[in-house]
Amino acid sequence: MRWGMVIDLEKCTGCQACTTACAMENNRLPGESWQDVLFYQEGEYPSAQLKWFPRPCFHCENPSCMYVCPTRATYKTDDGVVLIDWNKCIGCKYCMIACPYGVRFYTDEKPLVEPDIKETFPTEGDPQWEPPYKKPDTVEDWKRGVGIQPHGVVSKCTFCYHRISNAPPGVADLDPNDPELVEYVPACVRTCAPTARYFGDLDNPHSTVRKLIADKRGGRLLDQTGNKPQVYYLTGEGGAVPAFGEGQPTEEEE
Amino acid sequence: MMNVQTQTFARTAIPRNLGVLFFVGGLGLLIGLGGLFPLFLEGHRMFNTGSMDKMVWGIAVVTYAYLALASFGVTLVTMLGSLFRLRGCEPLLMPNLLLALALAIGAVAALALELGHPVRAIWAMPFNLQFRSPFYWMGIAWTAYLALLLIALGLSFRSSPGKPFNRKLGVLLVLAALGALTVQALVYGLMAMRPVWFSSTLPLYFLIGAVLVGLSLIVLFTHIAHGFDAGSMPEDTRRLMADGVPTALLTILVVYLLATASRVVTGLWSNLDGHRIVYEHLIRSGWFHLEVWVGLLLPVVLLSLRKLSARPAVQSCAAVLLLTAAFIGRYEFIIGGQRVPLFKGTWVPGLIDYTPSVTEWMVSVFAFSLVLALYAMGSRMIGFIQARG
Repeated sequence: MRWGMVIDLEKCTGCQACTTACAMENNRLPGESWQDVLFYQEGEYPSAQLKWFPRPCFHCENPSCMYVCPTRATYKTDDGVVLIDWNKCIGCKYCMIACPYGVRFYTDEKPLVEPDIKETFPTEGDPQWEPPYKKPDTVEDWKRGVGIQPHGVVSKCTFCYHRISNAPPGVADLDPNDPELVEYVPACVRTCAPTARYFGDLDNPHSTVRKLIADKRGGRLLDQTGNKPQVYYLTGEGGAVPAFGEGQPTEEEE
Repeated sequence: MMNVQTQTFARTAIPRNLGVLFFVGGLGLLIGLGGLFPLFLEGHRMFNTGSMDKMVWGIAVVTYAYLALASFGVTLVTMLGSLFRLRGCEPLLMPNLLLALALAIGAVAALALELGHPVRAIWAMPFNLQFRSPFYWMGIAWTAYLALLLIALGLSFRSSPGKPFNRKLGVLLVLAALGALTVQALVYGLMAMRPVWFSSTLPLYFLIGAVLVGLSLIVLFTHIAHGFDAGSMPEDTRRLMADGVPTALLTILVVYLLATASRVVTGLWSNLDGHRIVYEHLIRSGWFHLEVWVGLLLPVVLLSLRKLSARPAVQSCAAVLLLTAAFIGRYEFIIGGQRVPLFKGTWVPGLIDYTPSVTEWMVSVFAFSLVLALYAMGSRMIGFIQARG
């Protein structure tokens, strides 16, 4: 069993519903988008292109973030999900350096969006703040990096582990259209309006995710780093992520 | 040419300007601690580091890396001089080991101020045995290095003049310093996703830098200890400082310049995504030119002129320039490796900009001042012990 995701870039509209759903589900700070849609611009008018790229944590097969963590705070579960134990994290941020995909966050920093909402809804000590939109059934599981994080630790997308870990054993796909499985589906997958996201067992050859990867030539990002992400993209005729510097203005050009 | 013979040993030099060192170190500690209050009250939000459009590691990590490099360098140069029984080295052994220890403590202090949970690291790292992490091995190497350094210093306190330093301990200390230096380099060198850093030869580059910084510090603090008066040094030490040291410093400086030039040329030539763009940004920076022209090339001139290179003031000036250049180099290396934003799209359209906050600068002020204060305190202790003995 190895949970994975497929994102169809030809269907994705860049609406950011996934980003919002993730923020609500996981009580994220504004701007701290575990799931984010990145926009890229290439060229100039009249041949300019705008590309967008939904990017969760890729929960890699060979995660460099896990290997650099000196305390094993970052670890991989038996079902293939990379999580952070907030009780062990020392906040060295080496994992943030080592992640090629920039998916990790350290909220003991200047607020990404002003004013600082932590000051508006403070707590005494840990966790760091009390979100006004915190759900009554919010799960706090610091051993798996789920919940509102304490000070001095790193956080990232958990594939909504508090949901998927309760899924019936042996299920091939977590289909949001299946009423019996919808409560186990990660928030970003469940919310996606154009159904650009699929979530399932990459080790099951009969799963939808495996079939999509095979039929539509699913690709991974930065394969050359050897991390082997467990999130695949179906590009079809659509986007590739442009190399940094191409078509993106440097500070001097701006 | 250095003489490698049986030497007459002299007593350890106690800094003449101990009061000045105490004052500067103490003042710096007060200023640093005062400036760090926002960190203790508000946490790392007082740093200009972050997850999106900011650096992950800032000047606190640069300070740690620099002081660690300096400590390893001082130890390596000192122990190699002792192991090869260079004339004139013995009086400098204890003060240099003390300096190395003070630098190491300053480095650890800077790192502790950077970490989210520094105390947790004491148990979480050794008990979780993440063998694949360079940080784990850095912890092992640092522990071994500090333990051996303390033993070496203790033995130096107890040994009488004329008795050579324990060779086995000296070799172990050199190996520990080399090991710690290598692992520290690989923290950066293993990062394939950071092309500015990724290199298996980075430990060699770090070693060259460590020897340069270490030798510069030894030159500077030796002259400070003798009040910039070569006549007050033991004869063998005076000869070493006048003849051998400028040659050695010039040699390692040329090697360091070649290594730096090699890295810059490689970066400017490279087509690798995220590599050349950083070096193009680097060479447009005023700090880079200050580092190269003033910090590195001017000392080449000073140390090449035989009439000037033997003078304490000239040597000290060259040492200060080299130490400053090395700090700028370390800053450019660590910050440069993070300039390219990883998958931020138009949220971060260009290279990541970074200016340390005042609180971050206070980490550096505190760490450097701690080094001075500890060195001064330790020197005072040496003086007390020698006065009794």
